[in-house]
Amino acid sequence: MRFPTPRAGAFAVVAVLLAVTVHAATSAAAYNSEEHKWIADLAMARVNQRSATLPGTMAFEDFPLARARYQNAKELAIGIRENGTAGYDSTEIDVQDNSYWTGYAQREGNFKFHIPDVAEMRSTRTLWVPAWDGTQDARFTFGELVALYGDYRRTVSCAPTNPSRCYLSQADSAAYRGIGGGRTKGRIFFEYGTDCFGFSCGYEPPDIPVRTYLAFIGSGLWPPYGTLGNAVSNTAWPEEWLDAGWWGDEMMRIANVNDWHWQQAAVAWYVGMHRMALKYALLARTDSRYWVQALHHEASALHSLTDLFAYGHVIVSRDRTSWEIMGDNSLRSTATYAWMENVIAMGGGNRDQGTGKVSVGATLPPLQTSDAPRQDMLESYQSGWGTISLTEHNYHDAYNAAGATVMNMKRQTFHIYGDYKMRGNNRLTQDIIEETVRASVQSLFDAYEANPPLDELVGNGSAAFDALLNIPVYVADNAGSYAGMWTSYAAAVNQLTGAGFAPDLACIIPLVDGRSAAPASRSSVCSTPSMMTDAAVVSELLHRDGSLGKGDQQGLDTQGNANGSYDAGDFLAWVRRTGATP
Amino acid sequence: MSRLALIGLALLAAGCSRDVSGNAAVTLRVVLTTPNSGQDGSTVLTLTGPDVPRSVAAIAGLQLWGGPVTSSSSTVALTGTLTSGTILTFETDARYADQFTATLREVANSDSTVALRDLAGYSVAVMP
Repeated sequence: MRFPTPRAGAFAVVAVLLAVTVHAATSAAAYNSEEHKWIADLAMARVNQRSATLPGTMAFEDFPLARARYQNAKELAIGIRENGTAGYDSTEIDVQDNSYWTGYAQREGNFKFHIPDVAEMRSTRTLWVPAWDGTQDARFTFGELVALYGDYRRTVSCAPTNPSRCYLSQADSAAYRGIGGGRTKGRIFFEYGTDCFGFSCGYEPPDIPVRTYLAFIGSGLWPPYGTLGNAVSNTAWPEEWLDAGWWGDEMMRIANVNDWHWQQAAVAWYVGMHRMALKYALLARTDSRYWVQALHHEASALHSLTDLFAYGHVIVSRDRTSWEIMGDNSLRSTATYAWMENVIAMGGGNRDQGTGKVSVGATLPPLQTSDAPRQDMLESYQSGWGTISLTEHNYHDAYNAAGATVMNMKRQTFHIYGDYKMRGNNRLTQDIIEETVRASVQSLFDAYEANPPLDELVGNGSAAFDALLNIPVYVADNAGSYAGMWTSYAAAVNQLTGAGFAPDLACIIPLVDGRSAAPASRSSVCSTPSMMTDAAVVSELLHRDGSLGKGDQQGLDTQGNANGSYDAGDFLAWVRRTGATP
Repeated sequence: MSRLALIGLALLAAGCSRDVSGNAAVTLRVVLTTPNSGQDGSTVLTLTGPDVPRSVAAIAGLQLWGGPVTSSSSTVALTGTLTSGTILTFETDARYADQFTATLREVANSDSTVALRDLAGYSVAVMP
């Protein structure tokens, strides 16, 4: 346990000693919350709910104040409503970061918190999904849930007796341990901030509803966390989840062991969670309230899947380190961890019980689900793994900064980066990520409509996994460490989707984690994907004879009329694009 | 002019000739009717008959995909600006002339959406 301690200069000495841990603890996310939210909400504008009846707390609706939500979040964080730092005043009261000041580091992130401009919003139609905030079913945009799950919440916990009630918080109420006293249910307080600097008081913001604070985090606000991460102390006691600082503590606790955001484990997590979401989508045919559970599971699934558009997460693995940290903290036998391990297993993941390495395969077990504990907080601290985590953090940062040109199983070639660069990606990359989210959520509504047998729906080759056709599986750079190499999960994706796009097994990206040496740069391209021939494109159109794999057909459709299947329109687009002649 | 010569003239007028086996050959047309004449950019259709059609060709301005045709039931695609009227020609024995049919499978808009058309209002027919 890390005791809550006021952040102060007394920690200056240990700051030097533990600086290594600080950096490791900040390797939280591939994309920031506002980036996750932005791309996921954009995708919701194009989802067709088919004939599904949604429960009263859910709806596809226009959200005219969508941009104001980002602005309000940034205003609480640092007191300004626009991008950049112009106008920031460190003496302004009722501002989170002016209160959580001494020894806190979140301000840097909040300065960079990007509010999408009007052009970037593109659409304000979103999907509203409820989550219980302690007093009511509060409405979050689906994008906010995608941002929150994974970085601020490990499990998807829903009430066993109420399919429409899912939790983002540990309990309805909590009391402060040290400073005493219960607090009003459903509200977040800023008690661990500093209220007075000398005679100047009022810095602690007034308490706000849980639903508001979590929506702000999901919109990009960084909650308070220490400059040392949680290497030596937390802001709040573990049960004090109603303090804003607890959420920064929890972000750090999760970041220490977030292996399900990376590489093969991310694919397994996505597949496992998405299978569960599909199950609940079918259950919604008889009780529409199950849509809430379906969308909560889907949001968690998509956090990991969208992380795979950050190059650092494509290359680096944190399985072994996270496993060791969980072991050193005696957390492997907890209900939370067991639930999470089941998700990975349901996604075809297999964790080596000796090393902790997760390998994702193509064989999916019969789907098993269970109820996650609402109190899913785990005291997962770095213990002795800070140096290893730091190396992983550095690899993550370096790969994200460098980016790479990659290819997916639709043969789309595009460039990816990482943190803070979702907008820096070109429009093609943004569109591909958005399409990934859309296709995945759409598959829930398609399943509802078609009502196939569950085993078929969540089994190998199901069209419900087609979103995986969009993720990077091949490094198309001509130089660098992984030129012409396939991701470690490419073969599994090929088999899960039936893409018909087998990778060259002699050119798979090797394990890269904190215990790996930095890879040397290759002198040549390791392999090139098999070609899609003109004859195959024509033959598939005319004879439906399997001349093209599913990946190629979907790729032609994506670059054609995008109606979900390869047809005469896609063929016409291909002729025009390539200049092919009979 | 003899009666035989008159018959010969009539056959020529109908587009007939004789193939190497001595059977009378006839050129047939696949005629498209479209409610979006000039705005369709591709189509897939199946040509079916009692024999393998010969010399299957798109009319000028269209491209034929899937040739050469080697089966009595063949699916081909055409790209280009499609208008109502003849889109394809082929030859067959005169005795089979009235036994060929064409079935429209897909039509796509020629604009940038390349969207598939609803086939209501579309038809294809095989005509001399």
